[in-house]
Amino acid sequence: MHINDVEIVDTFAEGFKMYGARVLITGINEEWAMNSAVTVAGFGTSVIMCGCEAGIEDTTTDTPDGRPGVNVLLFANSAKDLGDQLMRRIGQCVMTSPTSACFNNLLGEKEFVVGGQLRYFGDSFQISKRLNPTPEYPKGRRFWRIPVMGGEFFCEEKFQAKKAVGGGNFLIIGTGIEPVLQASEEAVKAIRQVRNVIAPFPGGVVRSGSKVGSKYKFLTASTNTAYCPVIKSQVKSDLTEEENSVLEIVIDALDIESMNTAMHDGIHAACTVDGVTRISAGNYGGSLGKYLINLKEVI
Amino acid sequence: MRLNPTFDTTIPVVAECITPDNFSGKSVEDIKKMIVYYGNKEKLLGDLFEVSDDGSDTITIVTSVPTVKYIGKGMTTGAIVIEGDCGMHVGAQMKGGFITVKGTVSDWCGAEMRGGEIFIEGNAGNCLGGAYRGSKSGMNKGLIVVKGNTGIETGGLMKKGIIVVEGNTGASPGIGMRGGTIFCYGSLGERPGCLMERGSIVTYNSPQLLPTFTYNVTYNPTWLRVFLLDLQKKPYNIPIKKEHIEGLYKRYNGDLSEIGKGEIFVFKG
Repeated sequence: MHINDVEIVDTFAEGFKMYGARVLITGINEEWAMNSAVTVAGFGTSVIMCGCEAGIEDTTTDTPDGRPGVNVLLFANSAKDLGDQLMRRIGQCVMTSPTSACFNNLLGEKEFVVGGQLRYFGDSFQISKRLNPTPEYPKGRRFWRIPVMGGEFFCEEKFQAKKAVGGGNFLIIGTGIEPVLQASEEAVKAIRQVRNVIAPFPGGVVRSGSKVGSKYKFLTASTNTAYCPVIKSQVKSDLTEEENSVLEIVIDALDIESMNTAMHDGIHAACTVDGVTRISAGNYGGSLGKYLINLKEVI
Repeated sequence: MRLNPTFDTTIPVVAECITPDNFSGKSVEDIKKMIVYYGNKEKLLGDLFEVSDDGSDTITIVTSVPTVKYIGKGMTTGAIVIEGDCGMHVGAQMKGGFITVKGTVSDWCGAEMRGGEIFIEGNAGNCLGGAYRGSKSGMNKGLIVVKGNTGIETGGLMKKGIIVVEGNTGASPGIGMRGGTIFCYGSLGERPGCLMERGSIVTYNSPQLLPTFTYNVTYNPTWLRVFLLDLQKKPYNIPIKKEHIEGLYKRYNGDLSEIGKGEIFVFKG
């Protein structure tokens, strides 16, 4: 199958079950909301070393306090890990950020106490406030007001998480770094229009895709040698002679439908750039992941 | 279900049975047989009210019933509409549902309520959302909106929930508050927040504060933005203006004769 003469390899991406949360950060203006959001999502590229995968979903003016807000999605392998990361990141990156407030913005089956723990920073001067019940929040949303030097940090007591999908990916293969990078940028631009998804790597793009295992016993993953052009002749390469660069787009989503939409839109956008030869995907033979995202099906 | 009073008396009628929970699934005949107290005499609801089924789940009392007490007491769901005035203790200890009073209510409206919403188009009496004598806490969750004025001790010993008074309050609003929020768009009565431990009173006119309240800061509280925007979504036409959301408030804490963790916010503009 081809799109604009770009071959879509008959393979699949292997998605994994994760837990996802959406945190809405507001601030006195969008710049300050974004400052906090960028910090929350910082160092959140891969669960392997970062604890969670995080990214900015979108900006919004539809916020509980009527101020500009930024939605951040966070994903982790387990609910416990996600709760831990929420606590750390909201405590260190939102509470510290001038004028910020932090709200749960997702209904899910798991719940973590965040504001209810951060409140102790208030040294007994914290104050709780509860809104009246709504169908979404039958007990009413509870918040904590924590006095800080800049005023007051307003934070939701509990954040929720739902089962999500991580590890969606596709490889953009081309004749050189310039067209492949441009195609990646187009793909990420398209993916960012899709609700419920993030591309957690820098600029949404990964250059150092990995394979399972290594020649070194202490490493569980190492560089994806089959797609490294500089050692094409030294390994069993999956690249042709004219293919000189590969970049990967990794996607996490709150549900499989959003993942498929993001994959579809991203691949189609990538295929508009001259110099892209093939679109492929990374997988582990289908034995590890719960979701097999077939490229030909999603496009 | 429609209730039309057939009596004209100053003798109090205790009608705890008038709740959607009690009426649910019952026929008109069954409802007529419910017990009420007329002074110290036991009577049937059908003796005092003409009961008719209008096919609606809402209980509508079609005219003023100023001597009828405890309407909606302890209700958990459904709706009651009183087309005129009503007596004491309406919505007392209710846990859910909606009560609308198109006239005025007497004392102890919403006393010790635990949820639900009461909307009063006229004035309210004393001890709105308050605690009965000897109780530890008054209103604990829920919302009361009063378009008119309220009597003394509005929100006394209130623990959670929200009271909105669009007119003036009587003396000692928020007396002994432990939590929750009172909004007053008119004038707060004398001694606002006296003996309060926690909780918030928000006022849009300069009050006469007790000396046991101290000034802290002038700022735009995020929590107030959230609460006002949430109240704006309610169908009660609460007079929340943009400047109330975005404006500055002076924060005073007190009552320092207690633990002093209560607060009064005075709108500055």
